[in-house]
Amino acid sequence: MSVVAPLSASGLFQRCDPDQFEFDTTAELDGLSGIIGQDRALEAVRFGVGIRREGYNLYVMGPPGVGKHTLIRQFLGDKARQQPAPSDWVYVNNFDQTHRPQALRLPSGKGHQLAKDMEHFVEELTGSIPAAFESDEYRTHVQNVEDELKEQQEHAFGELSEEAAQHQIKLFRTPSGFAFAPMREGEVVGPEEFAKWSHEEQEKTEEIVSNLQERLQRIIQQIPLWRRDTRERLKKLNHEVALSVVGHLIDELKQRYADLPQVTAWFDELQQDVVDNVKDFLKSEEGETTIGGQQQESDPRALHRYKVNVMVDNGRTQGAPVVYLDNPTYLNLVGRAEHVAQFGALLTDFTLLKPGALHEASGGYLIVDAHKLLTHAYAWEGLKRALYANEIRIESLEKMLSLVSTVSLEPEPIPLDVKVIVVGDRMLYYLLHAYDPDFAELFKVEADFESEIVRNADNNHLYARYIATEAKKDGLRPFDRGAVARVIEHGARLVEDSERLSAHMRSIADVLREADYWAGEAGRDIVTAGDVQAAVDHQLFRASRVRERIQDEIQRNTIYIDTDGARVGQINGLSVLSMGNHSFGQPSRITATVHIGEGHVVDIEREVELGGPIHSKGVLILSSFIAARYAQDHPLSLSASLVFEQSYGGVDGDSASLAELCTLLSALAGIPIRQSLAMTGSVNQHGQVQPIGGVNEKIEGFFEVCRNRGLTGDQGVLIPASNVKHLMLRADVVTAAEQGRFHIYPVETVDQAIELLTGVPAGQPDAQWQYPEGSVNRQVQERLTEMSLVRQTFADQAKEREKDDDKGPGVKLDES
Amino acid sequence: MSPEQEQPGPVSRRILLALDWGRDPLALETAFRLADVLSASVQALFVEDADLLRLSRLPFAQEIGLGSAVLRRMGAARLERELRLRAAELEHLLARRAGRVHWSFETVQGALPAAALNTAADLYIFSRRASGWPAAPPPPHSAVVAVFDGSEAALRALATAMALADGGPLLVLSSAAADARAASLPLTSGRRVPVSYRMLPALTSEDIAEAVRQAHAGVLVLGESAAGTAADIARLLELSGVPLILVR
Repeated sequence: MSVVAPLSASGLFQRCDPDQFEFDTTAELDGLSGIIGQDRALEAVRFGVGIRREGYNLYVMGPPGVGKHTLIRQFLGDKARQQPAPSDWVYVNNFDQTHRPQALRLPSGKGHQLAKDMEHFVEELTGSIPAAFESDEYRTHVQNVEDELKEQQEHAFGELSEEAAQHQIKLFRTPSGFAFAPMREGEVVGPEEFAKWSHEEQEKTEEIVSNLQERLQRIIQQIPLWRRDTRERLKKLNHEVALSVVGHLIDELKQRYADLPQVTAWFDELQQDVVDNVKDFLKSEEGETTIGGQQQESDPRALHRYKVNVMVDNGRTQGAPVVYLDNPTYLNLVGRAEHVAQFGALLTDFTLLKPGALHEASGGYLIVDAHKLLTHAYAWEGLKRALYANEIRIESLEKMLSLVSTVSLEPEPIPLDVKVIVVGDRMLYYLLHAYDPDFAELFKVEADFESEIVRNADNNHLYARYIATEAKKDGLRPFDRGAVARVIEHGARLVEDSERLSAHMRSIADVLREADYWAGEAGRDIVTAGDVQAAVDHQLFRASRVRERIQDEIQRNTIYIDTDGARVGQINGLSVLSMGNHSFGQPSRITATVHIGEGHVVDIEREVELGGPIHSKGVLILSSFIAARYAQDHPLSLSASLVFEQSYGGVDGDSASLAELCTLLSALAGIPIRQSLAMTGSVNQHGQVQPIGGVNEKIEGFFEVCRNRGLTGDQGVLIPASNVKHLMLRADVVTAAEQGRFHIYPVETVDQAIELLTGVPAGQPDAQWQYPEGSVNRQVQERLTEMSLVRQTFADQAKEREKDDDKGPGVKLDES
Repeated sequence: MSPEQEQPGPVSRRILLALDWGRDPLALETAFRLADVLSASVQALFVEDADLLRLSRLPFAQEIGLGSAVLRRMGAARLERELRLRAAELEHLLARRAGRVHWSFETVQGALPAAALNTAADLYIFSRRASGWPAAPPPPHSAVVAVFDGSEAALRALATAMALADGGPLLVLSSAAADARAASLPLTSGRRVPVSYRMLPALTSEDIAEAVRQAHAGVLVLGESAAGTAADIARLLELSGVPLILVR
């Protein structure tokens, strides 16, 4: 087997050649209208927005910062401009059922006009109705009606009094009624005098009085009827006067809104209500209302019912509305009924109805963030209900949940025609799909954003134009071609792939702004590659407190990492720690011990529940590899234990399985491993090395340890060969490799790895599956065979003892 | 101790407020307003109608309820009790309204307005006379009607009416012989009183009452010469339906 050669410096970092660009600075470039490399997502959005069918709402997914919002808003902005502005919607009073406000649809811009017209209408009535009711004409009419009643009463009483007088009898008012008494010489006849009258005269007088009393009773009984008749006449008069004032105003309004039958029908109801409640317009200076001299009760908020509550005003909307709801609570989505405190009670009416985002977006587009939508109570449920019903029903949460049963508003639902675009991450999309059957019904289109794009000449140029766009938009200095190239290199490093570029444009934009800052600090008018590097370095520096602390502890031998010498059963593994949006590599000592056993490899991390399932899988795979390769003809009589030394947190992933296998082989063969090397990579059951993530950070992590102790030229890192294309290493690592002071070895098999680590050939098996003398594999094979024999011997002895035990007490006597 | 004795001080003029069982807050208010303006005392005289008392003692005396039209026995004891209660109620009202005005309250039996006119006073206020079906009280700020017959008392009546109107509408009724406009000119100078004048062929009770009704007046003011006899005053009260102020 040929010895694996270290990678050359050119294989460690794919440089972007600035000379491929024909511009000097980005100031010469045209701006970019779209975003880079999201053709699939764009096509999905185009389809989702274009199809006007029920349930074809969009879920736009991808990691944060890739430009989902930018693309959606840009696309919808263009699309919406070409569409007509939707109708206005207003709530008006329902004169039959006040608690059920009526919704009216009006052409765009007419809602506000109606509200103004109604304000003017009320203003007009507030002036003209009192004027009409204070006019001489009205007063004369009222006076006539009241005088007629008075005359009717006076006439009846006068006639009765006259008739009584003919019989020398007078009608008296008493404190609580009326009474008749005989009169003589202007005075009431006293009881003594009356007693002196003849019996006939007394009887006659009493009979006359009795007749008069009966007639008076009839008159008194008649009076309420006369008064009721008078009231009716006054009411009719009031109706006529009110109608004379309101009628022509209503006619004007009906002419103005003649093409809107729903509105003109409401005007008819309005007219009837004004006529029926004319007292509300007749508030005097003292706050009392008088009609026809009678005081009336009036509600101070009574005239509110003639207001118009404009829920949706598209008067100034150009095209269809595009609404982004930043805080998607249930109430912010579907609207609410607010309350005012009055005399200690909370009151509401249709004027206190407030629109939600669905009202504003109806006829257009609503954008919401999935995470916010799902974390606000009942917001998701509210949105689904509205989308299913195709209408917006304003309902308080208490009522929706049947927590209260007080009388409240039940506004007429407003029809809903909206395309909802939910923006979120992939995990939420998959969870919603799995657990909410409604989701698939309502969100049939997914737009999946790429997090990386192919690194080629075309995309390099698009990157350059993106930089130019951002520079112009944010007022940054122009970037020269070197700076652009450095940004592209950084874009590749962000995705850990020399053949790909990051589509996470927010991270790129951050670097651009920071590079502009450092160019300013250096007094330059143009951003150079050095400024971009400064931005990257400072970002790294700001996030490196923990990384440097760990390096420091390794340097101080608090964390044990050897970088020279050789040890049996000990290797430098590599892991990646993520702290916020920054990741860094760190070497970890992995050790293995072996002894005779039943073929189990104990993963100590798993035993103490610090190892994740993928890590455990890696350990099981390497166990299987050992059994398959070395224990074909005898049982695997091995017990081994593997551990990440000084690891006190969780360990997951299988990127250490190659290192674990190598240290196990070292322990079995008793061959020491070079501590100047570290390694990463996963391994399959056939001993092939598989790619892992974070290869750059891992290499840099071990490099830093070696650099801090002094580079010897022996040090290096073994990586899976399939990870070579991912290498975008730091300049100092590349330089060290170039100078032969640090090496990166790409390995494809465990045999290549063990040879590099031990300096001993791994050895290839012959036809009898025997490895060459002195090879690593031979020594492992022999050790396992030996372990198997020893174990077999122990097993035989145990069986013998069992047989002896079965012979009973006699044996015991023999033994004794 | 009477309220008059409680509040000592020189009292030069006296207003006699003649009351019967009817409730007339306007007459009561008018009396105290004038007392303030004229620095006068108020002598309230509650007159228990002798005719009513006699009526109640008749063996067949019966009363028809005002609202119910129910016929019921009318006993003297009940009537007397009702009159006493009404007198007490009125006295209580007077006490509440009086403020710093000197006042007294007395109950007598007799007939209005004769019973009141027997008592010496500078000015008499007769409450609305309750007869026939009860009419609604005049609305607030109704016009004041003054009768001017050219006499000295009429001049005083005009001045009193002017004070009562207090910026409100004032209608002056006069006969052809009296120049009310000229007489009232000195009284109105410097005041913003909307005065209107109406000439009547004769100052009869019927004509005056008709003018009062047409003007929807709240009170009628006249001098003793225009008032005539007690019977004329009674007639005028009955026809006009408003409180009457008689100025001597």
